[in-house]
Amino acid sequence: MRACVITAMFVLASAPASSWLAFAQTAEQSEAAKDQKAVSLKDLTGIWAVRAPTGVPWYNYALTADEPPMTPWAEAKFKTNKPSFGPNPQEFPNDLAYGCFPPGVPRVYAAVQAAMQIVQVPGRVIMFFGRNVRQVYTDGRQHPQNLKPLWMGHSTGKWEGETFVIDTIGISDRTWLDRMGHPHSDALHLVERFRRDSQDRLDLDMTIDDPKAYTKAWTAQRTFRLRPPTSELGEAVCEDMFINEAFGLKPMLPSTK
Amino acid sequence: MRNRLIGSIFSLATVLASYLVLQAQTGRQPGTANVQNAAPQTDLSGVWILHPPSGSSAFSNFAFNEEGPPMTPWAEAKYRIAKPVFGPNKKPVKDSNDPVYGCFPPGVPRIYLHRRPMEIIQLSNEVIMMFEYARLVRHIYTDGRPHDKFLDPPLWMGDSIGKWEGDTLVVDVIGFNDKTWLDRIGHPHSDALHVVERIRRVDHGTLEDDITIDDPKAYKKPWTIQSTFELQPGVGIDWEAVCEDQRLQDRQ
Repeated sequence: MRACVITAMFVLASAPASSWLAFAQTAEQSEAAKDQKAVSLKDLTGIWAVRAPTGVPWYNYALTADEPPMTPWAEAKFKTNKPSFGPNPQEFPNDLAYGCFPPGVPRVYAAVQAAMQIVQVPGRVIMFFGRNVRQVYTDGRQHPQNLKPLWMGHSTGKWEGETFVIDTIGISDRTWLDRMGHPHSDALHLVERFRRDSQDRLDLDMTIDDPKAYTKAWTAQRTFRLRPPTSELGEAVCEDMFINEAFGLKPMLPSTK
Repeated sequence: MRNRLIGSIFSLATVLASYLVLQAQTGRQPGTANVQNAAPQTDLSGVWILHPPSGSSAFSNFAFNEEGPPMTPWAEAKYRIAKPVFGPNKKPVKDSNDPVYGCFPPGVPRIYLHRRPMEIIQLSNEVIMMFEYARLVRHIYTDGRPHDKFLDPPLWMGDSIGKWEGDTLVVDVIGFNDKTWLDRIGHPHSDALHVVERIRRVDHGTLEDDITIDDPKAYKKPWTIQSTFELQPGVGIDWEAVCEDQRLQDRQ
């Protein structure tokens, strides 16, 4: 059977699911290592799955164990956000992910099933999170002036030694930072530092700087495990699973009547 | 001396043959890198856009050919209940049951009828097609893996594997659900749909895709169509064209 990684922000993961995943990852770890010839640590190509430790529930909805330092502005927004994940899950969430809108960054990392395919081509590093694609420009260009808000932001990247540094701005404030509803403003500046520490391990250190929403910049970490070369990201069509009428979107499945 | 030489060649051949058999067997196992195909002779990379053939303007944005495919009674019944926004039976969008207006992926080969940029990236083990329309990514695996035998649920865009035959990428697609249409006027297909594409870069700026559609439940015989694409230098995919955003705007 092919290892199909469902990326989704949308799948309702439970504790048993996460322990199964951890088991599957361990089993695949040796396969992935065996299949790979020695590669440059500056080659990030492949499918990477978050390595979620068992018994750490916040991995499935938050970026950090500690509450980030919200400003009063962010506190007010946080109170109106109704997540389905986290310590206070709501019966009627107003999480845009259920309207099948792109999750934004860094939210793509706040799930135990988080997985991404990274492709490096001249001038770009492309990151696939299912249907949500980020193009990280590595051709030396700057962020454009007067960016309109973008679901996945505008990203530029450069290598600092063996660390790939992604700088992202312009992330739409319609997105949440995580799956428990921590907000951000249009001033969010995200810096991700990816480092391939070994053949099959990728470490991510991110800095979230948003003076309007947080009293100081804060950091979060994730570790990824390389999937075997035969694994696939899967189709992950959100519309199959969630059409939330709260967003004015009704299911429009082909009628057979 | 001569016999011994023949003998050693024979044993060498035996060893080699069993090695190859062993390789072929292990190649079927999951988690094993499996490179069977010849290296591609052509680079399909680039951003492409559909270039309708001349004389096709009457139908080129909603159908692949004028006469339509030879439908079975099963397909004709489905075709009659389709409410497309194009073609002879067109309806307003609000009355349509075309799945793309529910933001569902359009399937293959219909995706090619939506005249928006398509980017191809060619890697050592797969060819990735990225479509601005519906923000879709299609992975065509060229590392010799078989079709996924556990296609449950079936897929909107099918399961694609490819191999190189000279300068042509031959793509084999199965595992579709039966919810998509083959075109924008509502020609249906069943879950038995089998699509074979032969993609070739005929010159630097032109890509041709000869597509064979085989679906015995829906069509009396396989039919073939051709799509031609033009290279679009300097164009990129706009990943922010989110279908759900458009639907919200339409309501407001």
